[in-house]
Amino acid sequence: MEAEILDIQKRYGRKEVLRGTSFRIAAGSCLGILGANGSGKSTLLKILAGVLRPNAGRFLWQGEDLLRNPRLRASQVAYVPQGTPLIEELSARDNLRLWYEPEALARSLDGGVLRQLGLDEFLHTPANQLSGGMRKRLSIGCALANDPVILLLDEPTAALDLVAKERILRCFENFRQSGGLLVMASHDPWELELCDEWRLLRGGLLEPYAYTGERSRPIRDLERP
Amino acid sequence: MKRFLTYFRLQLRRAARLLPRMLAVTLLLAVLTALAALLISGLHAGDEAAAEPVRIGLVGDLEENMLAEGLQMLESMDSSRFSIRFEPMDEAEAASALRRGRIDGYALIPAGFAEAMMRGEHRPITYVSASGSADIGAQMMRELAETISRLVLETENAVYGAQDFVADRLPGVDPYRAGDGLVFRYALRLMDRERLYDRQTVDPDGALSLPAYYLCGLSLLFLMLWAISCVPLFAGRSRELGRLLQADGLGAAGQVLAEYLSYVLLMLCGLLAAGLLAGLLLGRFGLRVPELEDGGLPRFALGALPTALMICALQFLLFELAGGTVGGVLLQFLSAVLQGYLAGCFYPTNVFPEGLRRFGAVLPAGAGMARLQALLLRGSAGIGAVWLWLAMLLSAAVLLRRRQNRS
Repeated sequence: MEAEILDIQKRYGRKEVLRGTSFRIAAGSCLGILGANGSGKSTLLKILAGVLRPNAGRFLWQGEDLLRNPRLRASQVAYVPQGTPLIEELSARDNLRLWYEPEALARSLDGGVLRQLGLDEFLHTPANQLSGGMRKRLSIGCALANDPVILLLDEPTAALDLVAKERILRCFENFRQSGGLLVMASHDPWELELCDEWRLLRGGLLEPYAYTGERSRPIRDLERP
Repeated sequence: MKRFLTYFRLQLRRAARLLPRMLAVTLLLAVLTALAALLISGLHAGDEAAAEPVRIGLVGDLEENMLAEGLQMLESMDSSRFSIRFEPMDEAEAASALRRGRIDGYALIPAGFAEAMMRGEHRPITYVSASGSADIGAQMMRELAETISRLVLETENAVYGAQDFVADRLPGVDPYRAGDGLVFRYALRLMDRERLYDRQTVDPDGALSLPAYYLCGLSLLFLMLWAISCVPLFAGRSRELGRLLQADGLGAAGQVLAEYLSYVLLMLCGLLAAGLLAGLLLGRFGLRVPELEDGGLPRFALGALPTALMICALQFLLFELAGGTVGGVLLQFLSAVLQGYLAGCFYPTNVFPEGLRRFGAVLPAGAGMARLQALLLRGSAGIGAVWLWLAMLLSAAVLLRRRQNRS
């Protein structure tokens, strides 16, 4: 099984941010999207997540266009944005309750993905008292509520310490190994090393990119006109 | 629907966490409002002697016989000596005193005013007041000045006309002595304090008693300022969450409705506490509203609910617009003060220019004030502007949220 993204176009007024972006990604793999700030990485992920409407394009999964089938998209696709989509005054458990059915929440906390993320350590703490790493883990936990197949990640471990990063990346690795499909916008070498395939978003178009792990290379490539 | 109910329940939980802090601020606000009500009622209960007299400068030839006598009479009358003080001065002195606020206005009496009148000419007295003074004092002063100049003018016309009549028709009588006699009789009648005037107070149709008027004004102002205690509820909202909920099927309308309803419930708790406290305080200090004396308070409170809902919708929209804490507080405060002023919470709106009065009446606060006043006057108020504003404000909040979610 694979997901196919076809000719996604997006304009903000006269500014053309995405000019026909297309790619394919197989189940059990991870695609890394690189690009300078403002190149359209977040816009692309928001479109795939159903947050933004594209001017044109399709997102095919199992023969269905997920951009035109919000119900199916909501059950198959999860999105972790850069910011924290949490209700700050409420506890981690209350935040999870917004997305999980009670039984599913109990199951996941018992030995599922929420346990892997270590959310049981701070279930009763209000979100605004959690550290950056805990908040990110909670956001990811919320996103994974419906057992999605496709996970869209926008710089998921930016500004986190190494321990938090390691824990989150391990969770993504497990997701991929269980047949999940990851699309990740990133600049971070740790995150990029998790990917099997990379693309560079430049001038509104996605170019194939061979990431070698060489630290200075992505910078040079981003600067190239 | 399931997602809406879950989101609504969580919003209620959020509101409940804020309740203690909100109640503390609400009670403080209620005490301040009750104190303001007591202060206002105390000011209006003061006796006439305690009131500050209107100070009027007189510029011009005051040596003329009739004019000097007329002014002296005015200053001696019971009805005016406590309320008006005349101060003779030259024009430069009067202009300077008016600029510094030492006098409320001055009258310019043209040279030869009395002689001109005897010849049948009309030389009007010019009254000068400070520009932009649209308050009740200035309005009353203008009325007073007009009354005084008319009184002096008509009296002198009558005296000089009588002198001419005596000179023409009664050859054996000295017209000047007859004129003086006429003035003295007029003065005696005017000085007859017991029968000078009889004052009655009648409540005209469409007018509230002063306590009722300020009950409306202060209630509305309280409602508008109350939102400041709820800033954390709105400032802490995550826009990312709104976007995800929208993508997941809970659109802008559902989000706004869930948040608005929880906000309304929070407000009702606050209003109940504040109403009880304010009622206790006002009852203890004996402040009474005649319109509510036949058990009309519960009816008024129920009837005021649509106004409270509409003000909540306004505050909700303002918080949507502002985003942050500082912006939210500032916007709520400015909106409350500006709209409160234009709606007549501080001054009765009939002292405003016509255009401003009409503008104030169509604003949400103006519509709310009209409804509260109608409730006290007639015991009921039709559905109209308040419900229309409620629908428009909530729709605007939904559109704004949709726009934020799609950005």
